[in-house]
Amino acid sequence: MNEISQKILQVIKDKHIHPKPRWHFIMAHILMWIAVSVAIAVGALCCGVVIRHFLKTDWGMVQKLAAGPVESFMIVLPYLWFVLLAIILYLAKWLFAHTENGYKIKPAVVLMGSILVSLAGGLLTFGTHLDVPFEHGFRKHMPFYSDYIKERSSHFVNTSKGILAGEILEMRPEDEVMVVDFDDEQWEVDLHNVLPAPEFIVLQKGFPIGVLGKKTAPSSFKAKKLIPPPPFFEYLEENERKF
Amino acid sequence: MDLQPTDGELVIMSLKDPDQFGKLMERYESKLFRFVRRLTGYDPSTIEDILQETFIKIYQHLNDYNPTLSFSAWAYRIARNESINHFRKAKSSRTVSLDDDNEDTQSLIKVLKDKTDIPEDFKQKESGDEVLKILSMLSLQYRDVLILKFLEEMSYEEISDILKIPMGTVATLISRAKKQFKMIAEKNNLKFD
Repeated sequence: MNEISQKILQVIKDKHIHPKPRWHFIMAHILMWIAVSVAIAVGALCCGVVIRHFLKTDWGMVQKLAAGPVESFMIVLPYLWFVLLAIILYLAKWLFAHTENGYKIKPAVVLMGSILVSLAGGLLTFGTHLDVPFEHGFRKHMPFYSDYIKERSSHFVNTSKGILAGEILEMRPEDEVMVVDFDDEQWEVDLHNVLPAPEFIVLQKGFPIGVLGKKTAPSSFKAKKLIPPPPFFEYLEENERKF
Repeated sequence: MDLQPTDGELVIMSLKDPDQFGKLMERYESKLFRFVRRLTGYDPSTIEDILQETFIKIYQHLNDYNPTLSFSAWAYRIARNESINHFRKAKSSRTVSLDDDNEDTQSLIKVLKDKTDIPEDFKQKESGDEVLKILSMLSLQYRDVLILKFLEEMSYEEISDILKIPMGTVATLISRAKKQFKMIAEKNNLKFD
């Protein structure tokens, strides 16, 4: 045996160095795969939130606010979730590349695969409403998110263009409600022409409301149509409140 | 005829008997020594330290050895990682070291001549220094693939396993490394007759 090899073997014996047990490596590989799975699951949830924001938007209302289709898209675009999704997809790709054989697959293929899996997962989470408690948890635990929601929602207040969205403050007699909009302005809203309300609107204190109509006075609004409130409204739709 | 045990068989035997690991080390000692020297340019004593760390790590991770991977690629991977760790600890920069007898230089020049447009007639000795200088100017990744491909004579698959990158990326890096080599050679007026 060569000198260096002999020397190293002696060090191994003198320092009582042993091979690490097999379970140690099995656990490490399992943990890595768990990390990849968690990243993909979170990506799917983010994707579900993005899908909900797009599918549950009243595009008719958005078009009233925007100058054209591009601006409409930009108003609705949940860019925060896109950024989060991009970060998670990159993390999933990195983690996968560090699995035992993951490095053999081209990064572009891994990325495309991650996107497709996130999209499929997103459709699943959207269909099962799992994205709702996820976003709710985000709102609860991420302080900046409430401000982000409020800022995004304020785009949907443009009473000069006949759009009002907010929360019902008070039910009043003679088919009127008091609404506070996303700019924290209060409005007396005449619902005379739009009752009975469609099923997506719950006419109770604390529930969201979207209204197309006309501003009749500095703090008065006459409704012509009730519309779904923006999906990134701080308050949940009725059938999501159970979460 | 005595059949030598394969690397995989020696790994299994080493798990039961450390002395068998000595046989495995014997097989790879000189190869890894030369590889670490080419990568780092360190003196023999420092290279021995790196080699010791490498083989100890290999021994500790024997239960993690994947038989679908060649032991050689796995050992080279660990040796490369230990070399990089040593750079970071020492905060030193890498220099390139080629064989004293110019064997490495000749190998590299021969291959680069075949694949790039370096002219046939040039002075070996002058070009040897130039090759060394140019190799030092290449980025880390390009230098590694050139050393592994043309000096260590590894296959694309082995380089992929050593560097943990896809085979397609290995091919791309080698191609870019040769182009960059040629570009730097032209910029630095590589002397030809």
